[in-house]
Amino acid sequence: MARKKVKGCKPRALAMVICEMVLRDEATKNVSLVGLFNRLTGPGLPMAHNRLHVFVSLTDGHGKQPFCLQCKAPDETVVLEAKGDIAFEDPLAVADLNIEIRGLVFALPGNYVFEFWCGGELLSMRRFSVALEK
Amino acid sequence: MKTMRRTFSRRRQSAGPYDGNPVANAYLHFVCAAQAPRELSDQDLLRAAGESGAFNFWDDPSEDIYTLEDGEAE
Repeated sequence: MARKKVKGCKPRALAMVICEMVLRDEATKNVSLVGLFNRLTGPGLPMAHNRLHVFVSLTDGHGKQPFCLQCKAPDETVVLEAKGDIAFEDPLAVADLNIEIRGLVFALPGNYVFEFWCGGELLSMRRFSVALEK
Repeated sequence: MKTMRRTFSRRRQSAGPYDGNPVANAYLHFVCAAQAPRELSDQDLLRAAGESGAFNFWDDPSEDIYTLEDGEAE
């Protein structure tokens, strides 16, 4: 049976995780997420994070879609914006996006949020907090 | 089929069943540099090491194993 084209159908986010490391096994192509966190602590501010990963799994996508990952500070300023395109060959397929962010600086303590936009819609968001060590 | 109904949207359900081709899952790795890496100067490195608490163990009294009277007099 021929597939019908579904217009205006945005992908669905199956998962969105923030972690320290993403490992991918070459033999099986399985992905391991290491060091998942919801809170960052450091001795002082501004605090720079050398390397963190935002891992997003998408499905139900159609064709080429633009995406945008934003990180917003507690005062709603955008501290990071990463844009790209993702092409879905099959709506049943799962697209795993490993977005590696290097050198992100957190100037304020409080709740930050990663927002993942695709096709102009907010698909998923993940909050995390930045605090000083006690 | 119940899983399919739960997993996918109504519009997707109305599009009908798929033809059974194997799905092409994708893995994409993006690297985003929020700021250019900066080389620390010697002073920055010393200050960072001092403020990190890495040398706090010197404050431990048990580290004071020598006194001014120690050593050989010439």
